[in-house]
Amino acid sequence: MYRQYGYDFRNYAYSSLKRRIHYYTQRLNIENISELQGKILYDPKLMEGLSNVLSITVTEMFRDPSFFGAFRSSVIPYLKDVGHIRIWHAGCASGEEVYSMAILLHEAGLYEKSIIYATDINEQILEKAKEGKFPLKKMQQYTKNYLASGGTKEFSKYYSCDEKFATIHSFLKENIVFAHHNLATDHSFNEFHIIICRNVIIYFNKQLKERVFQLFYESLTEGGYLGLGSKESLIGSSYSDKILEVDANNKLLKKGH
Amino acid sequence: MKLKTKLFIGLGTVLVVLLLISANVFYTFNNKNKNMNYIMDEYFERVRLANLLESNTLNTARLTRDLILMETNELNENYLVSIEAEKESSILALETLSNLTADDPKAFEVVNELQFLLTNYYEVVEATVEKVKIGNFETARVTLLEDNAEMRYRIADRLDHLTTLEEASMEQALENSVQSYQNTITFFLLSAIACFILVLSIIFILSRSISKSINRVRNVMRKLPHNSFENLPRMEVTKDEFGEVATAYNEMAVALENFSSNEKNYKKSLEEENWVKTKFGDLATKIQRSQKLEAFGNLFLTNLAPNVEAAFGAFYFQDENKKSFSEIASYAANAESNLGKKCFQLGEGLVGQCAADNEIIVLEKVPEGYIDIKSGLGSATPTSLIIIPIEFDDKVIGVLELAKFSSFTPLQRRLLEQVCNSIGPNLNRITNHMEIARLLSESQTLTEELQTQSEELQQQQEELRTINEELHEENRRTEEKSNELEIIKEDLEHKNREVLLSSKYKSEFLANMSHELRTPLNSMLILSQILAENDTGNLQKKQVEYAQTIHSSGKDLLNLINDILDLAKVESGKVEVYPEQLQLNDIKAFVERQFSPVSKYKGLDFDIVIDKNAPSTIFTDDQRLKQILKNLLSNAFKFTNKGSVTLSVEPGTKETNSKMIFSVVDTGIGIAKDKQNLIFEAFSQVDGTTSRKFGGTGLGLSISRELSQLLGGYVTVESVENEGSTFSLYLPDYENNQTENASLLVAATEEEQLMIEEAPSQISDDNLEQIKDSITEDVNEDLENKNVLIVDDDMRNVFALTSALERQNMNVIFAENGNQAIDILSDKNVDIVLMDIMMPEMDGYEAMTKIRNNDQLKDLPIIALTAKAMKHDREKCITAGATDYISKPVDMEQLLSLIKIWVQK
Ligand SMILES: C[S@@+](CC[C@H](N)C(=O)[O-])C[C@H]1O[C@@H](n2cnc3c(N)ncnc32)[C@H](O)[C@@H]1O
Repeated sequence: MYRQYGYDFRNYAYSSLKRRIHYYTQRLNIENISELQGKILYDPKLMEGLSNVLSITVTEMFRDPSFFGAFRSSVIPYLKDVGHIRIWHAGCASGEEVYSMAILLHEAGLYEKSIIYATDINEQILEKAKEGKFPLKKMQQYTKNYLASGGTKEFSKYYSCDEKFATIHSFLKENIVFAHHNLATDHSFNEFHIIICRNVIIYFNKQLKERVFQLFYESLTEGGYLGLGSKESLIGSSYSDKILEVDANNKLLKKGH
Repeated sequence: MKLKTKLFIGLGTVLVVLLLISANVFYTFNNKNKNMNYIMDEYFERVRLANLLESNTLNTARLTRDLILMETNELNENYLVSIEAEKESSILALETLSNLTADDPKAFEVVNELQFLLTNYYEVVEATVEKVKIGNFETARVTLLEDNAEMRYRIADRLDHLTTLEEASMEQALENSVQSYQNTITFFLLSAIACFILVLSIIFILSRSISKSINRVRNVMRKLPHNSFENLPRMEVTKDEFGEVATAYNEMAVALENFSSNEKNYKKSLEEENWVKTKFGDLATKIQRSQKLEAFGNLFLTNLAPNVEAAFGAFYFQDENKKSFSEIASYAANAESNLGKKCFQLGEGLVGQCAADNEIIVLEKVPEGYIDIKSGLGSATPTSLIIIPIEFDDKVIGVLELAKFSSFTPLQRRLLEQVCNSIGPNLNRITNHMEIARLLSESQTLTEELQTQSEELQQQQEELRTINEELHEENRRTEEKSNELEIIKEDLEHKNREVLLSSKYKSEFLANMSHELRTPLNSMLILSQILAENDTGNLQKKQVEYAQTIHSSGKDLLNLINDILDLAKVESGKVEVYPEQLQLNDIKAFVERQFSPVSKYKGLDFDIVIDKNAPSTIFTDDQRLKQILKNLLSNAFKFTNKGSVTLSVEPGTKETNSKMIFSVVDTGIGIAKDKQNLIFEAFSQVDGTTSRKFGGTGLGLSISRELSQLLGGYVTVESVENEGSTFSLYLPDYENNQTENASLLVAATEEEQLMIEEAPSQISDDNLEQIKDSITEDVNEDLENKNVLIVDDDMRNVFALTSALERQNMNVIFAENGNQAIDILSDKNVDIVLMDIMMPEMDGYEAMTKIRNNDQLKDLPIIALTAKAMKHDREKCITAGATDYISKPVDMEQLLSLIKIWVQK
């Protein structure tokens, strides 16, 4: 697959990979993996399907509100002194997290001087992310999350609704660049003050994690922050003493001292 | 002699001497005083007696004379008594005098003489008195004169003599007393001097003897060394108090010497202790931070071995089975000579033995070649070996082995023992740490695994949900569709009638319009052509060009109008179909005739390819078919500048529901994929510039499509940009029953057409918003029939909100205050509440809190309307139970969005 399509899932967490491929074969009514492999090699559509099945895109706005709360209180002050803020959301999925960040920066009066790079391996989900359209029902939870994260403005000021979807206002999209980027194979493309990569590395094995950490380490400015998912950490990685936890509960880490 | 005794004796002597002297002086003075007093008293008495005698004598003389002189016989008895008394007192005085002068011979003699004289005197006096008594005065006178006077003189003389004697002896006595006073003074002075000398000498002697003793003590003490308490000098013990001092001092000296020697020993042991401690501490800090066993072992050996001058060292640690010990680090080990053995079972070899017994093993004479230690210059066998167990929790967990060329000193052994005694916990910590690190990373993997699983599940659920929803939707839709279709059908029938009517009007309008348009347009065309020909030659080149432009533009306009008329006709169903059996050859001939000149003119190849299987005839409207083909072909020539245009005719198929397929293939500019649907729409071309470049109205394809549908067929397009396009007309034999179908379709398209026609007329800038609103308003079924409760006391607000919400077909209920709201909520079904915060009676916070107390209203969405809100108010809203908030004045669109979100079930 890697040779044919350039997708590299070899260093994904084995158990998850197994489950997803099993799920995919079931969905396609295929007997076993080798059959799937054969088919995939001849049918790019199947490959795309597989890569979509492999990329779990579960996300929420202000997911883990306390993370954003902590971000408000510990990272925003740091950003106030930065001239032009560069933020990288690696594995942004359908963009909820990115827009949450945009809102946060907007409220802190920093959005104007920020540029957010939102990347993902999954092109389809990137398209969705660009639209910034979320089902109405989900907005209830997002509103709750927003409030729980310490939001004090009107959340409803940031979107407008049609019959099915709430669409994020375009002023919040202005400084976001959505782009394709594969953490497993691609290199760094800038130096960032903030890197947010939440609930992505849980799908990777140790080796790939190490690669990603190295990538992040090289892409962070000195004193820059890294935000991880609630269940993720640098434990067991050789970067655990180079990027230090500043808020262990909310997985905020900082490069250097 | 004791100092106390000395002092007593010395000072006592002085005291005694002083006492003696003062006693003597006191006695002497006292004596003198007594003597003087006595002497004085005696002398005075004697002198007084003498004087008394004198006065007696005189008195007697006077009395006697008076007796004589009175010359009376009558003797005065008184005189006689007086004379007698004088005589008596003289005799008494004389007696006393003689007593007093008994020890003074001269005076005694005088007193004796006086006694004699006086006795004689008084005899004369008596004799005289006798003569007077007898009256013999003359004789009495004579006796008196002769005897008595003389006698008296003699007595006086003697009395004087006595007084002189007494005065002389009184003077003598005074002189004596002065003399003795002086003697006494002299004596006193002398004894004072003697006493002074005595005291001085005693003091001198005493002080000399005391200072001598003190000096002795001092001299010994001076000899005390300054910095050590060894070999202190001793003092000679005398019998006095200094002897006691000396004894005490000597005792102290002994104590000090003992102390100093103790201290020295202590210091030495302390130094040793210190050495052990420093080395131990150094080692401890160095190995403190290591996290891995091997690193620890190496660090441990390299730091420990040099301290005990060991030349070889190995460190063994318990294996996981706890039965064997493996070397994890070595010092100066010789790889090639396979120094030491890598693993020992419990009890095996010295190392194993040591571990088994938990006892130190020391070997002093290691056999030659037991261990060879190599340096660059050679190798040697060390002589002594020590093997020490390292324990934790009373179990041996490691063994240290060291070898050396001399024996281990006790101190080195102590260090080794201490180190080995205390690194147990360190080792244990490291193994624990390694274990913890392993567990941690394992648990991290597990946590992550859990998270992936949960996310995967979520994703799957989401997918399922969407699939489910889609299915539901699909179901609903089909149902709706069939319902709708029914309605549409009725609608359409109705509309059809209307349309027929309206299209009649429209056509009439269009016909009229075209007439009205054509007339002036025609005159414009003719006149501009005449101008362009410039027969009179009075126009300038530019002006001719202008006229030509007017002419061609006018022509374009005319074409457009014609096309529009055509389209309108087709759409309004005005076009009648006159089907007939057509010969394919006729059609071919027509096409050739029509387009060969164009192809030549544009320098393009033009081919007509007819499949040999194609049927030779088709039942359809001749004129319309030709019109379609004409449109397609002129389109192809219009957009092709190079290459060829081909018309191919193929037999139709069942699937495509056609009898014949006419395809127009060109090698022109092609059409982008996303535009391919658009080109059939009226008034659209690939882009705005196309018509300018290629001319034409752009209605050709629309008309073709409409016509093809009229004939029961359809047109498709396939195209690759910059490579060319293929337009295919699928045409069946014309069937009469299609008319209805066709007209239906036409009606539908008509509706669309009307929409398109209407839309532009509405869209002016001002109206844009309104339209947008109207569009959203139309599709808002989410809000329809939802019950909204507005709680606000300000009627203007209520009114504004009510009218906006009712426009969304929401049912609005309102309450003036919190209490009312609660009442309403208790018996009405409300989907969402808009709650003003500032109200009389019960404010919004309280109302919300009350509402939330009711379990059934826990999930009711409540949107708080806050004043241009402060952060604090908003927080308060949320705590009071608001689901969300919006600030006043309310932005209607925002509020509708918000309501839409929260009424989602
Ligand atoms: C569970 S989502 C996380 C979304 C968001 N960061 C959050 O925490 O809410 C994981 C995302 O990582 C993306 N992803 C997976 N492998 C990737 C790779 N190799 N490079 C970049 N993105 C990847 C997936 O496409 C998916 O959108």
